[in-house]
Amino acid sequence: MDFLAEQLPIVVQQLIAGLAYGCIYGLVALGYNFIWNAVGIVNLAQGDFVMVGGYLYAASFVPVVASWLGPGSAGSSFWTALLLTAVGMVLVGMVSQRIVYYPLRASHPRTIMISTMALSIFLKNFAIVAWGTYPVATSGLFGQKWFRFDLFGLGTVTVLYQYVFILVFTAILLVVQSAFFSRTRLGRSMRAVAQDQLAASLMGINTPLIIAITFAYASILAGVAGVLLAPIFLVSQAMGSIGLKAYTASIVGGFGNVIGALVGGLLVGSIEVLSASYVSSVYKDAIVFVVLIAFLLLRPQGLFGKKVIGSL
Amino acid sequence: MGIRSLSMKDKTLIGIILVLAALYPLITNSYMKFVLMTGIVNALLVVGLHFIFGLTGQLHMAMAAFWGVGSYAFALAVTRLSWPYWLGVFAAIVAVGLLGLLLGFPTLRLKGFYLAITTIGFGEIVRLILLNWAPVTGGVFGVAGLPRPTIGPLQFGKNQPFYYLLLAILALLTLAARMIEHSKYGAAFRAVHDDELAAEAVGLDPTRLKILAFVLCGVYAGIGGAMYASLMQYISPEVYTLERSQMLAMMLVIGGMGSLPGAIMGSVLLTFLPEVLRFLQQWYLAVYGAIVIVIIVYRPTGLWGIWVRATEWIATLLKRRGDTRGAA
Repeated sequence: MDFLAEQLPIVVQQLIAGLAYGCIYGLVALGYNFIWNAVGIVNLAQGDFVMVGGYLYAASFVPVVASWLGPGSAGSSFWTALLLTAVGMVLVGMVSQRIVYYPLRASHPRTIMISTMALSIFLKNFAIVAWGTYPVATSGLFGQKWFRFDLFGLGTVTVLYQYVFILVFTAILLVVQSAFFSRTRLGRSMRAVAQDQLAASLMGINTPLIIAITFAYASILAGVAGVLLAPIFLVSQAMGSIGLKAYTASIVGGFGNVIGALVGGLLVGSIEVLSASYVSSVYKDAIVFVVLIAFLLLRPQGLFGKKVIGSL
Repeated sequence: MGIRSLSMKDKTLIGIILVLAALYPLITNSYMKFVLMTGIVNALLVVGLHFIFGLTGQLHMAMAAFWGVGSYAFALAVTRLSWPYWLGVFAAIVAVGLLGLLLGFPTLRLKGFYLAITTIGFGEIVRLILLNWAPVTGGVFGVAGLPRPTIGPLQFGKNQPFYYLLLAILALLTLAARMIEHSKYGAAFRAVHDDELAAEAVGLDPTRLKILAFVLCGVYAGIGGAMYASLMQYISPEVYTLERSQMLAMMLVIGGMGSLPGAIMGSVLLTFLPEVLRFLQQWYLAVYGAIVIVIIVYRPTGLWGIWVRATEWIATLLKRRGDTRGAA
C-alpha cells in the first residue's frame, strides 16, 4: 500500500505527459482522417508537416516577431507566431495538394501514396537547406516552468506547464472544430464532400476547392501539433517521426473516425510514456509499433471504426 | 536464337549489363568507382523489391529491415561463428527469406495503405532491435572486419575483381528474375497487382502469391545485404532506416514500376544522382526530392518509359532515312 501511495504521484505525472503527447498524436491523426474521408488516401508527408510547422514557428517566433513586438512580449508573440504558422501551413497544404495530389487524383491510390512519400523526402531535405541540420530550440508561453500540485495528500505532482497547456489548448481546439463543422457553411460543405463527393458536387459544392481546403486544414492541425511540441522537443528533421505514431493513433481509434483519432492518440501517448518508464526506454517506440501491428491484424477497424475489410 | 528474336526488354537488360561492365575501367576516380559498386548492390536490392512492389503492387516499406537483417546475418555468421564466406551468404538468404515469411503470413491479408503502414512499423522495430540489442549486434558500434569473398583460387579482395563478381551476381539474379517474371507466377503476380478481386475470381490465391513475392524479395535482399556488408567491410545500424527504404522504393518508381531494366537503371542512376548534383551543395537533396516528385507526377512510366520512347523515335528516324534512300 505504501508502495502504491509512493508510486501514484509519479504515475499521474507520467500520465499527464503521456496524455499531452497523446493530444499531439491525436491532432496529427485527425489530419489523416480528414484527408482519408475526403479523398481516400493517406498522406505520408503528414509527419513532415509537423516538422514544417515546428520550423515555421521557430522561425517566426524567435527572431522576427519578437523584434517587431519589442522585448518582453513573449505572450503576444506566441499567439502571433501561432497565427503566422497556421497561415504558412495553409499555403503548404494547398501547394502540396496541388502538386502531389491534384494531377494524380484519377490514378490508383498507390500512385498518390508514392507521390506523398516523395513529398516527405523533399520536405525533410528542404528543411535541411532552409534551416540547417542543427536542432532549433524554442520556448512556448511558459518556457521550462514547472507546474506543481498536491495529489490528495499522497505527494506532489510536478509537470511542465507546457503539458497542461497542450491539454487545454487541444480541448479548446476540438470544441471550436466541432462548432465549425456543425455550424458553418464551409464546415458542412467539408463534411458533405467527405460523405459523398459526387452528391456534394451535384448540390453545387465546389468539390476541388473543398478538397484543397481539407488538405489545408489537415496541415494546420499538423502545424499546430508542431507548435505545441516545439517547446518540449527540439525542432529538427526527426520531428517527422511523429507521423508513424499518429498513424498508430488513427488505426487504434479506427481509421477515419474523428473521436477515434483523439482517443487513439491519448492511448498511444500513455502507452509510450508508461512503457518508457516501466518496460524499456529504448524500446518504447518499438512497443508502440507492436501495438500498431497487433491492431492491424486483430482489429483493423480500430476501437470505434466500422468493419471496412472490403476497402482495406 | 538470334538477337532479333529477343524482346526489347531483354536487349536492354543485356545492354545495361554490358555498359556496366565497360563503365568500371572508364571511370578514373576511385571514389566514383566505389559509388558504382554501391549502385550495383542497390540494384540487387531493387530487383528484389521489384517482385513485391513492381510486379505484385504491394507497398513494401521495410526494405531497409530486410537488407539490414541480411547484412547482420552474414556479418555475424562470418565473424562470431567463423562460418565460411558463402555459408554466411546462405545464412543471410535464409534469414531474410524467413523474415519475409514472418512478415508476410500475418500481414498480407491487409491491403494498400494498411500494409504499407504495417511494413513501416515493422521496419522501425527491426531498426530499433539492430541498434539496441548490443550483445548480439554490437549496438551503435556495428560489426567490423568483414571479409571479401574467394572462390577456390580466385580472390575478390580488391575492388576491381569484386566489382565484376557483383556484376555477375546481378546478371544471374536478373536472369532468374526475368525467368520468374515470364513464368505463370509472374503472370499471377501481375494479376494481383491489377485487380486483387479479379485475381481471386479466376482461382488465384492473392495472399499466397503475396507471401511468395515477399519471400523472393527476401532472398534477393539477403544476397544484397550480404554483398553490401562485404563491400563496406563494416556495418552499423544507422544506414538501415525508413529513409533508405523510401529511397529504394524511389529507385524502382523512377526506373519505371514493373519493369526489370527500369529497376536496374533507376538504382544505378539514383545512386549517382546525388554525386552529380553535389555542385548544388546543400540544395542537392532538396532538388533530388523535387526531381522525384516531378517524375512520379508527370512521367509515371519512369526512365523505362523515356527509354522506350527514345528508342522508338530513333527507330523511326532511321527508317525514314532508309525510305528516302530507297526512293532515290
